[in-house]
Amino acid sequence: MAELRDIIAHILKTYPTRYDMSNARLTKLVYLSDWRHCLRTNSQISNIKWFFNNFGPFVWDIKDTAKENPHIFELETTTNMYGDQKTIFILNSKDYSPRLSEEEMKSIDHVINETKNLNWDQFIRLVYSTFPIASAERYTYIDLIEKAKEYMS
Amino acid sequence: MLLLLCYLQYRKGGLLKKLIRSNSTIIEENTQLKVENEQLKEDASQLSEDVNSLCESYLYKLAKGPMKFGSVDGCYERMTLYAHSSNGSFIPLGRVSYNPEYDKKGRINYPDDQGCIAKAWRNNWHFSNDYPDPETATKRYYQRCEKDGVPEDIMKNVKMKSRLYCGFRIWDNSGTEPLAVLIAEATDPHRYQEEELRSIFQEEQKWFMGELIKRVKQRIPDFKEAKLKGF
Repeated sequence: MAELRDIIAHILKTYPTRYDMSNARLTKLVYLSDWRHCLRTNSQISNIKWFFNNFGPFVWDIKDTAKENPHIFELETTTNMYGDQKTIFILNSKDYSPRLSEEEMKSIDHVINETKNLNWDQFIRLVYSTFPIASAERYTYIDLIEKAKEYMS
Repeated sequence: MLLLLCYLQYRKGGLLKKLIRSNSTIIEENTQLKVENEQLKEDASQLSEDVNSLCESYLYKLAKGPMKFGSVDGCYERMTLYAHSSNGSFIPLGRVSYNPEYDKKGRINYPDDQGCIAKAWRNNWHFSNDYPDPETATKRYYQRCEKDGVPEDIMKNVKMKSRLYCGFRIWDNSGTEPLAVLIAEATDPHRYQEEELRSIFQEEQKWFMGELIKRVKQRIPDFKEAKLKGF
């Protein structure tokens, strides 16, 4: 299992920079990485207890972790044209070297490769097509390890 | 003459350079606009990215309004909206019942050749309420379901053993592409009359559902694709 700050840092370092990295996108990338890792190794990369709400897989852990590590991340809050607040994640320290195992890195890189060319609709569709989200009830915690077992059986 | 030719050549080259530059600026601006468009889509979808939430809001309105869910003692009703996918299955887009057990998601997809979903899809409209009581005539109930093409082993795992099923096909609003099926069911076989349901699900409702599905079409889950991508 890796530290969440290392997962976030690796994504920010590797993901193509043409899109702002919003909380919504980053959270879903971490979720997909955890799900992919569960399918490959029967364990999550992060220790996040995933919750399924109106925003799909959603937790505050990612934003909180970024706030707790200002030497690595910068959070930029802007207002979008709909008047809503939007938080963008920026990697402050380009020299930071995330501590991840080769297997963990493989899972995250797979997610990045499979999603980097998807537009937002396609990206969201992929998240909602994953078995845990498709089969879980909204407003419940999702046990990704159990879901992986169910999915593979 | 030579000087004139040189001058013209020089002007032509300059013009060409200008054109190339403005073309590359347009391409660059176009790429930037595409990115901005994606960002705006992302911003706009924060409140409505979940297709199920959108569809269920509409189903709740129907349940509370004309369908009058929960108004008959001892009877439970349910409505489910299923989108038809190109790989021959139905994907539930939203489900509403006032009984929390019946409100649960169920399977992630359903075959398009079984049960009342298949009948409604094939025939445009389906109504049947001749199902025996699953409590007192369990065997006959399963036999009746088998007549619809749903095997007993599947039906045994279905929590809501309904005795009335009604469904209809939903088209896109140009009337050329069938998109989905809405199934209404009840545990009491006399909960609704067929004509009553026909009048509730008039063209206006069907039109609205067609419009709703058209709008969420890009977001309808595709499990096959997710599996192919390694998820």
